[in-house]
Amino acid sequence: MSKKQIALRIGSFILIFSILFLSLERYFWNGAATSDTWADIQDPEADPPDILFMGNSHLFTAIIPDLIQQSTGLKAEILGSSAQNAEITKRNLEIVLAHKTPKYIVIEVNAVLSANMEDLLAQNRGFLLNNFDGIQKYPQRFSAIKGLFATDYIPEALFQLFRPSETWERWKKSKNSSSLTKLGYLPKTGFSNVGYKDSHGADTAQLYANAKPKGLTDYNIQAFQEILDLTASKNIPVYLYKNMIGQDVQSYQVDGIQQLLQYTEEYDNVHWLGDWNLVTDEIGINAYDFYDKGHLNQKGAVKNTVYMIQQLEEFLDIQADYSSVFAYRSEQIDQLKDGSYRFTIENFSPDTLYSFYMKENGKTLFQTEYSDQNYIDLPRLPSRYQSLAVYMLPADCDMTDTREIRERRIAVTFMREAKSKEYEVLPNS
Amino acid sequence: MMFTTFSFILFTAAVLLLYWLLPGKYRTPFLLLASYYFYSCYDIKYLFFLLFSTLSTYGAGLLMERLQDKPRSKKSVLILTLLANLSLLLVFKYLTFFGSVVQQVLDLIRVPVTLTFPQLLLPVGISFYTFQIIGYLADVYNGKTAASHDLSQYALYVAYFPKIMQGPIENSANFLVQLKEKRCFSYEKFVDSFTLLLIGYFKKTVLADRFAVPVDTIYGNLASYDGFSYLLAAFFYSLQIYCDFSGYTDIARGVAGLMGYDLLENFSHPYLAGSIRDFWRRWHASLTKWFTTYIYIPLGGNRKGIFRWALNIMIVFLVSGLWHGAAFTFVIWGLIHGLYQLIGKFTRAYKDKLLAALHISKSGYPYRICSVVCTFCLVMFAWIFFRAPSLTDAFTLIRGIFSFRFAGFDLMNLGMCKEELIFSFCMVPFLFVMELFDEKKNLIVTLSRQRLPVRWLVYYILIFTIIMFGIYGDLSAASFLYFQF
Repeated sequence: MSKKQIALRIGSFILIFSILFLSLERYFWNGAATSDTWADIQDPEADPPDILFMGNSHLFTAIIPDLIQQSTGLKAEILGSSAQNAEITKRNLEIVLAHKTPKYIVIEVNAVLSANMEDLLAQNRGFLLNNFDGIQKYPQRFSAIKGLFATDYIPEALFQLFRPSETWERWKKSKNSSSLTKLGYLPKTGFSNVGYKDSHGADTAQLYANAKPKGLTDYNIQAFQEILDLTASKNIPVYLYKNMIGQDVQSYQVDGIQQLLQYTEEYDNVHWLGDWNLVTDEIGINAYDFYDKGHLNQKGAVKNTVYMIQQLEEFLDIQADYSSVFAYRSEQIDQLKDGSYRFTIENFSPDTLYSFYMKENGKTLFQTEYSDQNYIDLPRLPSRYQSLAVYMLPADCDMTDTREIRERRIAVTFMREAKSKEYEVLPNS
Repeated sequence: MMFTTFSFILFTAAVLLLYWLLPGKYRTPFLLLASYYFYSCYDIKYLFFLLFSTLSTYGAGLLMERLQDKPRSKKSVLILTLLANLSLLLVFKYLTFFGSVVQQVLDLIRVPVTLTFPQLLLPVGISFYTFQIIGYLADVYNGKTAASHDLSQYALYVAYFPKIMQGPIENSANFLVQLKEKRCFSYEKFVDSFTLLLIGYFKKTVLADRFAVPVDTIYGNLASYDGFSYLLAAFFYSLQIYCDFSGYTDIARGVAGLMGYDLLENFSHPYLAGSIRDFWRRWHASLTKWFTTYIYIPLGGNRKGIFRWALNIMIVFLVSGLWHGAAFTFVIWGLIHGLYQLIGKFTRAYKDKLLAALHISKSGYPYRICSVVCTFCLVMFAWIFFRAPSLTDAFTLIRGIFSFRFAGFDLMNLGMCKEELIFSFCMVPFLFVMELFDEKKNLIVTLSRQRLPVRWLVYYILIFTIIMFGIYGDLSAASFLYFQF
């Protein structure tokens, strides 16, 4: 075969590949990654959200919209993506307002304080993967593609070359929906990072105190003002707050908040719910409530959401009622005077039956009968190969119907081995 | 620069293009530079050790050639060079392990001494290239191969980028010889190598990294799983490690083939082996050959009686275990395979008598299927030790499997969504069918005989399957398992 023929053949192969790729790329997207929140907002039949939360990962790992909805009756939804910045938040808001008018909007200001587009394009993989469709300027889009190639997201980058800007399929709803469902929280409204990790958090107040001031950039100010103008034009009350963010606190600075608040003074519809890094004790957040150094885990998110509901009660003149919320609320380990340990778990619903069980090497060592006793006393902490868990069941469940029990119960692993091979007893023990 | 990264694909494409555009005399130095660049991408400090090993063994080879008439001096050169290179491997790979063993002994006899060792970063590929240069030195010493006089050729023999990380462990008779010959572009070879490359990527990104999900989920949290899950983890790990390592080898051989080189075939459908002995002929063949040539035969092989043979086998597998990792789990894994061999040998006569009494033909399908399944189960059992983070975990897994507690097993608790699970389970029979087909017909040869539209269709299906179902990228893709060795 001559060199010319070989070159022709290789060229044809690449050409056919490109045509096939372009034709098939729309089918490559994983349907599971489609955001129900976006679908809901763009669905003309669906009711608008009563309360819409906007922010980045620090928000969507810290607020459980279903808990708000079930306790207050307000339809709550989150639009948040990894490393979402001010411009993307503004872009999201524009699209939301084109379809629906939420009654209230809560903006977690880390998204407004975060880096500008160029910095994010250069370094933030999460931003590139989750915000691409919101990037409007074509030079920036090409930078994003370059960034994706550089981080080895090859098909992501290739697909983005051809994606129309108005599609939003790439918004992920949850990274770990199965364990979320087990906790009794539906994943559809956006809550991720629910892995049960007793990761070491940090003394956020101390970190906060040590943080170096970093002012707001013109870029952030401009995008923020546009966000405020948009909400003012629709007369939507806006609540701003800053979520606690563990060790990441140093990268989001505070004097920026003061600057930011100056711009809100001329807007009557804007209210400040505070900087929650400064009220961690009030919220009850401790080092074991973090998923990683910057994000809350499910326990932290429950506490954080309850605190958010308290704030909403104050500002919106609503009354929260948790009695119909059937979901894990908290847990506690106490060492009793005789040296034994009491493991207490609490469900939001008072009408809950509890059944504790312990497994060792996969074998069930014991399981208690379902009862309203929400604690169990054990002579010692579970060993390395044991895990203590609890089933929670609504009290109105038909106890003779094993299928109903299986379908309605939620399971929460109480404690298992920590990374260090030593059990980490919660601070209240 | 992992094989599953875009950077590697770009790098390979650029190297390939320049390689074929350059005049023949510049190709070896160019490939050497490219290989050193590739290697230094992991850590430039590693390059120092590679250069040391290359230069010391190159010099030793030349010296031994000159000392043909002085056997004692020649032997001294061999021993010194071996010691220098082996000590590097021992220090980097085994210092902490042996140190911890000594510490345990000291604690046991209550000697109040605490040993401390620096945490050394193991240079990537050191186990592979050290074995390769040991083989070269031994061959030169024994006169089986002539010492290389061309430094760039020899350096490329040691550092050639497709194989430096995980082999195959090339012997000088195969690869060094090829480096001396002029390579001519062959379209047919190019296409076959491209197919092999695609198959390798398919095995690694679509199969191995997908099978890894339930494995990592279960091994990472043994307390939450039961007997059947353990069995599933052991099963999937057996498939994962095969697809991972053979996938790597296919990619390495594919890349080398695109440049006109033939690397050794490391895998020959090992899970279709009818005995453990057969398994080791098919699994990591370059390592098996190395152990046979440079340890088993020098120890006496089977020439010194049955007990010495048994001892030699156990030594070889003990070293094999230690080569794979500095931990007792690997030692046990090696010893189990050694024991398998001994039991196989000692029971062969009884087995043959039994088969004859039952009128079962060894060539019949029922016997062959049974022996393949039994061999797979034995290998799978040994892999438990290979994968487990500790001996305690391995025994937990084994106890769990043999407790036969299969109640309460939840498929949805394996770290995968429903679609992924279905896909993974479908891939298992697919893998075995492909292995059988390849064993009988040779997939690549069969494909190369098809008409162009059929071939291209297969290529496109493979490429799109990798793009759609593959797991890759520096965040999501797992490292190759043998990378750590």
